[in-house]
Parts: sequence; C-alpha cells; structure tokens
Amino acid sequence: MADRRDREGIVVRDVTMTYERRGITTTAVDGCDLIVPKGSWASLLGPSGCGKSTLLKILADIVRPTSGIATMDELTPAEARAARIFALVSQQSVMLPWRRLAENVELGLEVAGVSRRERRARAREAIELVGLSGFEKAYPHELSGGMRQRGAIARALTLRPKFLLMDEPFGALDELTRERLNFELIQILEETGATLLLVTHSVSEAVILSDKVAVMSPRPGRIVHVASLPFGHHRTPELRDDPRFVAAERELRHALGSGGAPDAAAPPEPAAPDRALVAG
Amino acid sequence: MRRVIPAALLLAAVLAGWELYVTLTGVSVLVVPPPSGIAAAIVENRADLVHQTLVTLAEASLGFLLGNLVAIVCAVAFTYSGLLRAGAYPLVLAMQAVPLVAIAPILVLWLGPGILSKVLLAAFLAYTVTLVNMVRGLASADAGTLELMHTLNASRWQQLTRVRFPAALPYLFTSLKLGASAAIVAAIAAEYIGALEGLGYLIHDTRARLDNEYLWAAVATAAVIGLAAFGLVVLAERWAMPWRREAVEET
Amino acid sequence: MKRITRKLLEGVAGVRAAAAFLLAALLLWQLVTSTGLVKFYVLPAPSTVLEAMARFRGELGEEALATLTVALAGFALGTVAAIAVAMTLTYSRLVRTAVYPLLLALRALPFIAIIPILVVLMGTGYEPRITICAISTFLTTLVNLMRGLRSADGEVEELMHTLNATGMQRLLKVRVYAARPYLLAALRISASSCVIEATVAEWITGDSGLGYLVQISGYTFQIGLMWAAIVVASALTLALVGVITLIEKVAMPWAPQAPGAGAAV
Repeated sequence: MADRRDREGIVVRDVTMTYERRGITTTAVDGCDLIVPKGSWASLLGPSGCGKSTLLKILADIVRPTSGIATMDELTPAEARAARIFALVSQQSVMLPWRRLAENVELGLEVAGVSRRERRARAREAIELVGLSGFEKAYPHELSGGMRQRGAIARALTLRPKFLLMDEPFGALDELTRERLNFELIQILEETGATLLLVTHSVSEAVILSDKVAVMSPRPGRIVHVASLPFGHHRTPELRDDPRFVAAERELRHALGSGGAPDAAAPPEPAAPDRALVAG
Repeated sequence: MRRVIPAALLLAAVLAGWELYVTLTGVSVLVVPPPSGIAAAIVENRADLVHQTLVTLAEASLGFLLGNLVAIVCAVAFTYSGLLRAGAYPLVLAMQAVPLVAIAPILVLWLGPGILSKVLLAAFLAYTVTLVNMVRGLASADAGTLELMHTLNASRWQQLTRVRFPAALPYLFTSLKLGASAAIVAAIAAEYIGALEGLGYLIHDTRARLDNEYLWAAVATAAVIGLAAFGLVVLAERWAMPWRREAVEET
Repeated sequence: MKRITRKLLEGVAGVRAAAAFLLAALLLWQLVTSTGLVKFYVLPAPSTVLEAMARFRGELGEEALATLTVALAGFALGTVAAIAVAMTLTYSRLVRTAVYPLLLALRALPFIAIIPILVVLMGTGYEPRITICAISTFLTTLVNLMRGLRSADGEVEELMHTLNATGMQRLLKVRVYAARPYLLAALRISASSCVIEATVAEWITGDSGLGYLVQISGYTFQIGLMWAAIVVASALTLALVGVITLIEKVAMPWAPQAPGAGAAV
C-alpha cells in the first residue's frame, strides 16, 4: 500500500547531474535519493548552490540528469510534461506583461487546447482559490509582487496538476507576505490534494509546508539529512508555537550547519546548464 | 568571426549569380553591368576614384567630428540646465523631424559648391542624432550612484566624468553608428546637388555621361565606405566597452 | 476611448510649454532677419516663409501629396515584406545567422548611393522612389523584428516549455507580443526615414514632390518657397511619427512606458 503511494509519487533514485563550464566540471547534484509519496508534501532545503533547484528542474524536464532515475507517477519527466501532470511555479512569477491576469492564468489551459468556456471557468475558480477575485482584468504591472505570485500559483492550479513543483516561489517577496502566502498555500494544497515538492532556503518555510524535509549541502549537491515532520495537513499559524515545530527547526538548522557550511562564496547554481531542452 | 562565414558565402553566391545572369541574358551594360565590368571600371579609374573618395571621406569625417563635439557639449549643457532642457529640448526633438538632407540645396546655394556646405550638412546630421541620444544617455545615469557621489562630496565635474559619461557611452555609440552613415549620406547628397569633387559629384557626373560601369563602381565605393565607417565605430565600441557584447545594437 | 482622450490631453499639455518656446524662437528669428544681419538667401524671415506657404499653398499641397504617397507606399510595402520575411526566418537558425549580418551591412549603406542605381534599373518616375523607401523600411523593420522575436525573457521560454507548448504556440502567444515594442520603434524610424528618402530621391528622378520643389525653387532663388517646402516636409514627418506613436499607445496599453531598445533615434 505504502509502496504504491511511493511509486505514484515522486521517485528520485541515484540522480547525478554534472556539467562543464569553461573547462571546470561541477557536480550540481550527486547521487540523490528521495521519495515523496503521492499526496504528501516535501521540501528541498539548503543554501545557495546546493543543487536543490537543479533537482527540481530535472523533475520539471528543464534539465536532463547525467545519470539516475527520476519519475513522477512512474512517468519520466519528459512523459510527465507531455501528459501535463505537473505544474511549475518559479521564483519570478513570469506573467506575460501584455496579458491581463485572467488571460495569464488561462495560459496553461490555452496551450493545452482546452475550450474557451472551460478555460474561463477554471481560471475563475483558480483565481478565487488564491484570493485574487476582482483582479481578473488587471495587467501584471498593476499588481504587487505577492499578487503576481498568487497569479502564478493560480495558473499552475488550473491544470489540476498531480504534482506541484515550486522553486523558491516566495523568495522575491517580503517576509510578511511570504508567511501569509505559506498558510494560504496550505489551504490550497489541502483542497487540491496535489503532491508538493518545494525548494526553499528558509527553514521555517520548509517546516510549515512539509511532511518531509530533505536537507542538501553544496558542492557536490547531496542530500545529507531527511527529517520527517509529524504535523498533519491541517495547519494554522499557531503551529509555530508548537514545541515540535521549534524542535524540527532546530534539527534542520543543525543538519544545515554540519552538512557543509552555507558558503557565501558558493557559485550560483546555473540557470539551466542544458538549455537545449528549452530551445526557442 | 566564425558567424560571418554563412553571410560571406551568401554574398559570394549572390555575386556569382549576378555575373551569371548578366552573361547569360546578355542584358545591356547600360542597364546592369556585371560585377566583372564594375571591377574593371574600378581598376581603370582607380586614381580618380580614390581621389573622389578621399574628398567625400574628408568632408564626412570633418562634419562628423564637428557635429558630435558640439552635440556632446550641448548635451552636457542640457543636462545641467533645467531651463534649457524645458525650452530648447522640444525644439531639438522637432528638429529631428526635419529631413535635414533635404536642406542640402539651401546649403549649396548659401555656401557654394565648395566643401563647406558638405561639412556643415554632415555636422548637422551628426549633431541632431548625437544630441538626443547623449541627453538621454547622460540622464540614464543611475540615480543611486549619483546620490552616492553627492554624499562623497564629489564635484559636478567628477559626477559628470565618473558617472554620467560612462552611463552615456552605449547611447553615444549608438548615435555614432547612426551618425557615421548619416554623415556620409549627407556629404554625398550635398555633393550630388552641387560640387566639383567627391563621390556624390562622381555619381551625378557618370550618370549624366551614361558611364554606367563607373557609376556602379562609384556607388559600390560609397557603399563600402559607408560600411567601413559603420564597422570602425563598431570596433571602437568593442574597444571602449568590452563588457557589452550583443547588448547594445543600433536600431 | 476615454484612455485615448486622456493620453491626447497629456500630450497636449507637454506641447504647450514647447509651443511657448517655439513662439519665442520664431520671434527672435524674425527680429534677427529684419535687421539684415543674416543674408536673405541663408535664412529668410519667418514672415517670408509664411508668405510663400500661403502664396504657393496649391503647389505645396500637390507636391506634399506626391512625396507622402511615395513615402507611404514604400513604407507599407517594406513593412509587409519585413513581417512576412521575419515570420519565415523563425524556422531556420542557419538562414537567420547567414542573413542577419548581411542585413546589418545593407543598412549601413548610404541610401543616396543606391538611388541612382535604382533609377538606372527602373527609370525615372515613382518606381525607384517607392523602392528605396521600401528597401530601407524593409531592412530597418526586419532587423528590429528579428531582435524583438528573440527578446522574450528566458523565463517565459522556460514557462512555455513546462506548459508543453509547441513552437507555433510559442511564436504566436509570446514572441510576437514581445516583438511589438521593437516593431513600433522600427516603424517610427522608418516613417521619418521614408520622408527623407522620398525627398532626396526626387532630386534624382526630379519631376514631383517636395524635394523636387526645393530644388527648382533653389534654381529660381525663391528662398521662401524652399524653406516652406522643408517646413511642410517636417510637418509630414511629425504627423506620421505622431500617428504611429498614437497607435503604439493604443495597441500596447500594458506598457507603462515604452521600452528603450537601446537608444533609438
């Protein structure tokens, strides 16, 4: 039973990603193993340059691993992308500036060839879910960063994805907005039942949003510790006062500290070493 | 450099095709001379051609230098005087709408067929282009950096040279590229209207004499120097701003 | 509709300040010329120019129309051709790399040198004039369109990739829109260039148009008329650019300010 949930979830087995730039070979990800059962929430936590974004990009079929297996619901990333079973939310909300919010949110469905009536209905649903009702006709430049990011989440949700891949989605926002959005995201996840894989460098965000946190260390990128969190999926802001929350944070900080110091001089992760996959 | 190869091959193919076309269809030399005929004309008249080219180049370069220098000075003035900027700048923008090259007949009328009219027209063109771009460029300096200079008690001159000018460099080079071609066009245009020497005069003259091969040769030379001038500015840009690759291209 | 009116009014307010200075400049010009400091054949008094404009308004109108027709025809042809070619070029990177440097090189050619060739090939009349305008518009617009089509954000490309979009979808839903500001900037430049090129071409084909008018009024020393023709030509250019700017504001309401694209002139 658990085994099937594992298989239908995210499976990363011995995934390695190396690339060469100017004659120097860098190992972004080294032999990572991770299982995120279907319907559960997981985070990749670590400092800059630890490979967490690369691992996510491998799953999102933006980058190809040098070796290893990565699957979602037993499909390879390329198959998963073609079947549209996942949605990616990145740090930049990537709204098309010439489209209004509703049209931006509809973009995924539009590309998938869904009829206009259904697109409109699903977009409206998603916009309501993220709390942006009333702003359908606004242009991205008229919205705040937090609103744009909510729009990006809405766009992801219209696809009713089985898997939600998020790469530091709230990284560009101020802390207050970020905290609020964290708990809003929890409600959305509860309602949609998607499997979440979140990349973050914030310890508290990882604890708030996960059942399982994989701590990664840089150069080479390895998973050095996996923490399981006992909180269910129904979480409120009071969670932060829970002693188990504090303990979990402590455990993770310790793991971060010992697994290779967050090095300020760590080279930035490459945007997408194998751009060939995203040819224009 | 390797990127140029496909283009060079294409060009060679075009020239070959052209030669073939003329040979095969036997088109009159008075309509379209073959590349070989043009090359022959160049070789035959090379002394004269070189002379006329140098005249045009001299006029264009002089005008280019003059126009740009004055434009840069004016741009600095506009940057530091709000009054000038509010009042005169819109006029400058309107001046951009004036088809300056069309003024050539007026200039020739006023200054005669000598080189002065050509130099002046080239200068006007370079001036308008560079002034607008330089004003924009000097204004594009990062406000944060200027603030910093202010707190460091930097003088206006230091702010100008250390912050504004570097910020204006990309804009300057864009206008230099435009201005170089424009100056050459201006010189040739004014020569066409009325001159004793220069490529424009040569074009006018060969056309009147129906010396079609020499006409095409003159045109080709004009094309080449236009290109060369552009290329020179591009090289100068690469040298002056090695950190920008394809970032700034002219429009 | 309301938005258009608001933008028009904003433009008008800015114009008022400039108009004040323009008036002052004109008065100064009138003063200087009436003192006889400047020879009449260099700079005639504004009054002379205005008088010529009034007296010859028929001819001016006729020639202006001729120049405008040529410029617009060339502009339209060049633009359509550029858009068509730009769309086809999206299919082959090899062809693009071969063609792009050639395009840049062609743009650096002094247009005035090309006109005599065109006249030899096409005779005097409208054809060479329209052609030179079309060629220069084509080159400018194509170069800018190509840049514009490539200008879409890397992250937007990534998004489209994860949404499993086809190449055609990417082109039509993203790149075409990203190219719009570049296209409009190119149109603005081409419009003013067309007027200049049409005018200059008229010297060489010489039978109608404002450039021709400037030339022959020069021969008869009618300086007022010469300047009047130049003023009309400038007004034409301003009007064309103004129309395009208006179209830009209406067609791209999402742009809070027009992007620079370098420092376009």
